[in-house]
Amino acid sequence: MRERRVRVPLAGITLTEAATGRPVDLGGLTGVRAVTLVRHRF
Amino acid sequence: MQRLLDGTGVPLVTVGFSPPDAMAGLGRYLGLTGAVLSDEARALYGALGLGRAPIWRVYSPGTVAYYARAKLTGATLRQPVEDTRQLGGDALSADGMVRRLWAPRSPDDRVPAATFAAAAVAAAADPASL
Repeated sequence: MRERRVRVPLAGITLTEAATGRPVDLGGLTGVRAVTLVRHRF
Repeated sequence: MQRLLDGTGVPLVTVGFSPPDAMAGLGRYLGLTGAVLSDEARALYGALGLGRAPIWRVYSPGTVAYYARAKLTGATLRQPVEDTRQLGGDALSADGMVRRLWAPRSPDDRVPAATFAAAAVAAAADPASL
């Protein structure tokens, strides 16, 4: 596992809020957030 | 992860490449209180350089042994319905910018949840350290 300090802008990356189906521009995420990207489901 | 961040004031954002309805179900199942987002195009995965693991890393001897043990103990194993080679990862963002990234080399190479949560709490206490 590699731990790195990076600078990756999130503006322009738009995902779908699962519960509502609304688009969410990640660039609007304010403050410190813990982001976890999961793998596949079964 | 959610349990470790509860009460810390650090929101957990969970992203998956499953369709929104499947991600919503996962969020309910895990009791996630933060944003649960669907990234079917894997845009965030790509931006963070989280690619697909080689097949020999996905189905390593350790992974095969894990599932063999599960089967022997009576667990019900289901066929995966999505890309089993896509790697996940963990990151800390501040004001729309990812500043710290834990990128695994194989599916079982994730940062320990307690380590990640502690880093998140420390970053929230001192955002300039990110």
